[in-house]
Amino acid sequence: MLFNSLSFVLFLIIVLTLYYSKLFKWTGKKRMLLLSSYIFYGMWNPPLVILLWISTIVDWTAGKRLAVEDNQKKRKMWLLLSMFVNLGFLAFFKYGDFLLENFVVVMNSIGIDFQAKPMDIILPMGISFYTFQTMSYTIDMYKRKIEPARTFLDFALYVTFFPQLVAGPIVRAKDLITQFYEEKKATTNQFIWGLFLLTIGLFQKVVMADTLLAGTSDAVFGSSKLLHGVDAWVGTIAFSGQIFFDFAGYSTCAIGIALMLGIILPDNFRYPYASLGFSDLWKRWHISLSSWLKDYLYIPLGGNRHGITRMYVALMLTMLIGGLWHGAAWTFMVWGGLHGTYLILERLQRKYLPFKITKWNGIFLAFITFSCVNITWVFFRAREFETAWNMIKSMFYMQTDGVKILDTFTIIKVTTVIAIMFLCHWVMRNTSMKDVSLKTSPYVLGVVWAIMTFLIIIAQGSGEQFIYFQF
Amino acid sequence: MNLNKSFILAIVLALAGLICWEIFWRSKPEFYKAVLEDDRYLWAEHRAEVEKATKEDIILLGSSRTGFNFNTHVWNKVQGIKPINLATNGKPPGPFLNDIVYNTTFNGTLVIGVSPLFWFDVAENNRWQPANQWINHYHNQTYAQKLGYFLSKPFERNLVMLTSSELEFYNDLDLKSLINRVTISGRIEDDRMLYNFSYHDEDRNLMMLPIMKTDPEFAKKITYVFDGFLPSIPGFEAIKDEMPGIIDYYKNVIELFKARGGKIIFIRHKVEEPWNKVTKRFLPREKVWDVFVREVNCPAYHFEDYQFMSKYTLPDWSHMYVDDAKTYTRDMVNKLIEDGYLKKL
Repeated sequence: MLFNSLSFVLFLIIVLTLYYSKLFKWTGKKRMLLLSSYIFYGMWNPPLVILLWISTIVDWTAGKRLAVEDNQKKRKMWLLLSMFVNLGFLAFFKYGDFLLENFVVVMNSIGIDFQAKPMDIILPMGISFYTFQTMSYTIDMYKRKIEPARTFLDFALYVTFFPQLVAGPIVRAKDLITQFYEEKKATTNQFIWGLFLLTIGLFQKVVMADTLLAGTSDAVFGSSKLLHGVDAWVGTIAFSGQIFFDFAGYSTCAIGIALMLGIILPDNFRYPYASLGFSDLWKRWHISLSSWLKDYLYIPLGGNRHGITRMYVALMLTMLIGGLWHGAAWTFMVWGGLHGTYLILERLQRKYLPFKITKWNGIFLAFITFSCVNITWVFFRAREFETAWNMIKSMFYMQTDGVKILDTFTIIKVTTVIAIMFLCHWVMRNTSMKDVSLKTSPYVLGVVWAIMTFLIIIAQGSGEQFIYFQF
Repeated sequence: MNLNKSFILAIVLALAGLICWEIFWRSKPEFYKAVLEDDRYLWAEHRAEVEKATKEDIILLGSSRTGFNFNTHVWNKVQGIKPINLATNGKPPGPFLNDIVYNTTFNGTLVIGVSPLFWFDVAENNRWQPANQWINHYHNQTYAQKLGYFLSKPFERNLVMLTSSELEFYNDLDLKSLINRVTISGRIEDDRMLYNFSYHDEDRNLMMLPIMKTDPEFAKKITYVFDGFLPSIPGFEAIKDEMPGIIDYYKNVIELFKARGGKIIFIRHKVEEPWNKVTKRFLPREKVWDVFVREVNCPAYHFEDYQFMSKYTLPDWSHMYVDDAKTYTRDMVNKLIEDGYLKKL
């Protein structure tokens, strides 16, 4: 079910009515939330709910055993079982065709004539999100960092909680399961603030991403021609804005909906396009994934504990795997590799060319970071290397004889939207929406809210899927 | 933070804005009517009827000419059967024929309106993509989508401001279309944007807006778009080598359908000279249409052969006005009954 659909509006009204009715006690409410979450997921493809059940049962069992087992070998076996099942699902459903394709290429390259039909496997929506979330539970249990979930219901609800099930934020067990132990009820202010966040999230998705930017990025990246430099840049920055508004929009909706239920989810974005460098970027963009990768991949790979070379290797491996997490294609690996390279270069710069960031050079540095990030988006968005390479050629050779496909108004529209977005991120980088709203007159807030609502409705979004659902 | 105040103000202002917006667009009834959108959802509802259709049933396939020129209510009155209308505005019928032949057991009658530029086209090219998206939507639609569509119906039926289309007409009312009305000329050749000049009912009959007859200037906005691309359509040489393959492709599909007892009737609807001239240049009748009809061995009606098919004047050169479509449908169905291809119930 999509947040930007009428079916979700009805679903949410029913869930909230049942949640705040006196029909159920807290356990009953949690059961209702669990059932609602399965319905939320099953309305897309009912049989795939079985995968959620398997993940839940395996990790609940593994977690329970890890809580009582002292034998290190057996503990490791339980952890491996959990990882085998979760990563096995990912490998089969998400990377099955990709692995097969590459196997065929390798076979053919060594002279063995081997052909295989693509398996055409359905990618279960949000599989990368919920498998990472549930895996974090067993890993933390293995490291004895957390207590086991008190009941199966609490754990199942943690794995399946509908606001963040299909596109995050990826929440850690200690941050979410414990919230299910005692009855939660949003205060009036929390409820209305949650509704406001839901409106902002929908505005970002429906108006900013789908209405203002998606058409331009689709046209540019869908073109098979060598484009004029301006068109290539405008298409790239349009995608840069689209993916931010799309994904941050989803996270904002998720946080808002959870808040309406009295549940607090962590921030997933903190104005990332005003980042000062790439370490800063990854503390601001898809925070729940980057912190997951840091805790469960970068640090276990050695982190910065074993010298500089090992640290760079760990950094690069983490980013490459982070790239692959997004999709089964080499273009995503390149995207991850570029980010890994940026992070290494940044560390080298800090060591050999340190300089102080002031308020004067800050915005310039943020702009440089944003521009470098835009280059990586080319590989993220292009489905083939040829498209990506053509785009890069156009962007850097500034092809003046390339084909022009964008009209003047589109160029002005996209550059204006992106400039405003960048400046907003810069202004907001050290504050939060909540802080700003506290300083804003309730009337101004009401007018802004009304305008957003009006625009969402007249945009008549056709229920476009969120980009991150495919990851 | 006084969120209560903000919340109430937001509701009041948003509602007031939406009411004004709706009133404004309602004041333009010559262009806009509150109807259920003729989109993939409505099409899928009609497509679902094919699953329980019998040998007596009729399915209409084709593009906009079939949508405008045939009226299923008139058809029902004359023959006693209401056809299942699967004609699609702006999409080639080839993929839909494939869908009926390969994905159903239907063995009744298919009446296919042929717009040559759409029909005699290399199969599975880019223009087939939007049609295939509709077919995939029918086969793969989720429960969430079905519920969403069910919930959207009363809004679409009653609110003019929800006028929009996947064909992205210049005068659609969704925010994206409204923004795209702004143009600054100079950088690339300006697109000639097509205005929507029809409305439809829930049986998917397309009806030309009265303004097409009453305001020649508005009709000119449509012909201006056709005028933009018709001259660029090449001569027969450009497609000559591919034509035998295209005809063979259809022949195979049609033979499969006929082998299970199905019947197909082809109709070439009238077009005015600016269209006809180009069609004849690209797809000369004797080299394409006549060969095709002979090869597939199906009854076929060409507007140049029948006075009742060619007697109307088409305001936009390509589609019939709503009143003409009714008499045209009546005459066509009577002719098909007279020739023994349809049975009157």
